[in-house]
Amino acid sequence: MIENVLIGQFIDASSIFHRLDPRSKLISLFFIVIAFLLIDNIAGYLLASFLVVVCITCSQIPLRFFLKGLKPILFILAFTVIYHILFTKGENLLFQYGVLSIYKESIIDGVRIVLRILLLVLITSLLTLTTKPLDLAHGFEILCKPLKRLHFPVEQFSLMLAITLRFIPTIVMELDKIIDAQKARGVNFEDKSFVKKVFSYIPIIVPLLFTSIQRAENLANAIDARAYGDGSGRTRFKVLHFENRDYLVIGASLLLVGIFFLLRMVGG
Amino acid sequence: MDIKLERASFIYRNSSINSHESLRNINISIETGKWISVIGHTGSGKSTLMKLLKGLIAPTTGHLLINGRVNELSKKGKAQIINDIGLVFQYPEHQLFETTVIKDLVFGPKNQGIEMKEVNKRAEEMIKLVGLSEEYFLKAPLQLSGGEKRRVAIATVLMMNPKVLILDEPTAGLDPLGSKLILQLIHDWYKAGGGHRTVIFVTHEMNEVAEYSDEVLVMNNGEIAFQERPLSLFQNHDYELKEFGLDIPDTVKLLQLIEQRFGDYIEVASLQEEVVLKEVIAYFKKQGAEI
Amino acid sequence: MLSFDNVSFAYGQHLVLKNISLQINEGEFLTIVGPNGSGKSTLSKLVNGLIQPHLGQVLVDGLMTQKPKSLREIRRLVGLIFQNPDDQFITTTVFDEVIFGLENIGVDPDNMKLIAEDALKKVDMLSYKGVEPHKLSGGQKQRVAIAAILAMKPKYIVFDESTAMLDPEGRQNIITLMQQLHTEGITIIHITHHMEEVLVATRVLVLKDGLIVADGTPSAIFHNSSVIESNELEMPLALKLKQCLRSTGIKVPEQIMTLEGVVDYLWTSN
Repeated sequence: MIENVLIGQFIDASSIFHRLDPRSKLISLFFIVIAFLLIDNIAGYLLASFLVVVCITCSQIPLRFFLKGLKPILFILAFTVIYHILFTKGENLLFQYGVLSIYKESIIDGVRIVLRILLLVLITSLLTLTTKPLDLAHGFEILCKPLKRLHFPVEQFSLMLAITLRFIPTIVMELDKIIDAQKARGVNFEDKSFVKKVFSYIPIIVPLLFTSIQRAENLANAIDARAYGDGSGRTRFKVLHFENRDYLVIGASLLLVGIFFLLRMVGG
Repeated sequence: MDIKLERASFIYRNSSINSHESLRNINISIETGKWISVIGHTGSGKSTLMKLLKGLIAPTTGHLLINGRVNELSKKGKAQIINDIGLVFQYPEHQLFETTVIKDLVFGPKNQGIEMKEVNKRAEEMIKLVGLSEEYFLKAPLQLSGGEKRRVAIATVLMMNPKVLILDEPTAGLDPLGSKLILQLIHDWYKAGGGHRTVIFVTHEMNEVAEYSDEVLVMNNGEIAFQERPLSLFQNHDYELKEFGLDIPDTVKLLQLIEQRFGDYIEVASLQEEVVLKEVIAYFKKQGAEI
Repeated sequence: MLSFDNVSFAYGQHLVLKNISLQINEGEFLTIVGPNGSGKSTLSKLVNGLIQPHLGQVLVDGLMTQKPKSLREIRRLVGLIFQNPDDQFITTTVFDEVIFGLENIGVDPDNMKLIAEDALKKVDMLSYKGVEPHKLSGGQKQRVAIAAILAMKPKYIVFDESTAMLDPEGRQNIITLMQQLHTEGITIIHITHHMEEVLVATRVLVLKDGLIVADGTPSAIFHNSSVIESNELEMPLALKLKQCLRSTGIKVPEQIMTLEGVVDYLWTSN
């Protein structure tokens, strides 16, 4: 199971994406997401797919890490396609059988939405795979600093974020262990009936909850014991500063918004 | 029940996290009625080996043989869990999840489809075996002390009536009294089988190894380095054990010190504390008499 | 100096420490033993100000742990190493872990790298600088935790059963490190169930049901057989041997506590 978890897994390399300031990565991601959401024609999808492929190649991270991250959402993707094909109507009827009718438009729609989700997930994975969780949280913290005036606990929130990311692999390992232990106690996860299946997970969820709470408490103690306090008055080892490449990337992603907007205008 | 692994290996699928726990070319034979201790540094593959023996995972290559028969894969190509082997994981109290002790005790046998009458009878037996009483049945596992929780957790596995009991560091984190009670109960269960029950015991405590085992399995970097009787293992391979990041029992240290100083090697029948102390005292009495 | 003045602490209705008074001087190597639930961990959390006494007070170099303003300085002075190596690794790499504490106490960022590398060198983990926690063994993680605390230049380090989850080599490494830090002037407080680990201490405290039932040198504690038996402590083999020898008329001096010492004594007196 551990192999399927992507979030919080930083893969070390020395690509341009690894060297970027986390803030510029966050800002660019924000713009790229907007740009991708603007896509509504084939040219747009082709361009976006091309960009994602280029980015993944440049990241020096083996493709399998990206693919692994897609595994958990395969179900959602499949569901989306099927839903669109079966339940939306269009003009060009391709196939009809009883109440079931399939239109050309609904197939295209389904594929489009899946492609969009795929592109968004991949580009977001690029961020988490190339950025250490703590750096990410740090970048987030600085970007959110204005919120501090509204008494929003930015520092604590960013530490919380960082720890969540750091502990995902640990908790998944724990989950694996509990599943094995309950299998050894005779739990059968192969049961067909849905109700039985749900109940068979109780012996896993309850222990996982307890150990996680225990872990959280230990961790809170460890953080306090290291003089974290309320997060104020800290100094930072890494002083983030923008380099030319950061401005370049933000500029490029902003430009993408423009390009995709134009494509939408022209194509539409 | 005899268990054998023949040329077995296990490789974690392209995972970066567990890969160091992989196993290579494991050939072991565990005979009925033996108490086997398993020692090895962190990450030497002990936990993987235990999962392999229980049938939670299938060997990547090689075979697991139970009473001489290969443990075939299921139709779906998955490993088949072996019901006659009970596996107690590290910190087993973390796996208790029911609201009362009795519910947790009957959970395993119920999964196996065993009759309620039989299950209740076992529960009464087991709660006593682990040194608690029926008054504990209706208590919540969370109310118990750490040592009690651990004993209940071991009882939940014993409830399934295994022929072989595998325990992964069952005394870790307990105080001396708590550890003693755990060891006692495992020993009681083992003895009650009249030579038909097997114990496979993973531990970091060399003194526990010396006290109980018939044989010791030493693991190092995913391989079996030795399978030997404790007496010959600790006396002949102490250097290698240190190299593997392991240690030797205090009783062996004592015998070695006497040999170095006095030049006499004291013959002992086993490495149990009581036995060694008796021989050592007898030796010094003789020494004193000679002066 | 760490001092407990008439300290009581309760979890809900359950009183875990009962009117404890205790002073720990600089330069001591104090080992605390006692059955589970005797209040050992509570004691360690009180020293660091993670919890505050319900009655009485705890002072660290004169600073009261009840005063929130003193807490940062108290936590810099008193480092705390816990039992579970996984649950105290906060960040994602060995180096970041050491930096985390330095950031918390407001160290000048320019000095951080040097301080952190120095601390890692001391625990022999510098070559693992960029490594992530799940690639380290338990013993290595504990050494990183120690480095993280050393970087903050503490005067006292409390080890709360920090060797309990380690393999023999990992445990031996931590004990050796404790001794080394002690000779360098750091006050060590070590909570453990392993009686052979007690022998390296200068002072031993036996806790039971929230009370201090014995306080003295290892030799004094181990020769007080009523303390050993009533508190369910395990005697190391060397002391059992001494007892057996005594019954045959051979009296080994009290201060000899190790197997080596006993055998040497027998050899020289022979």
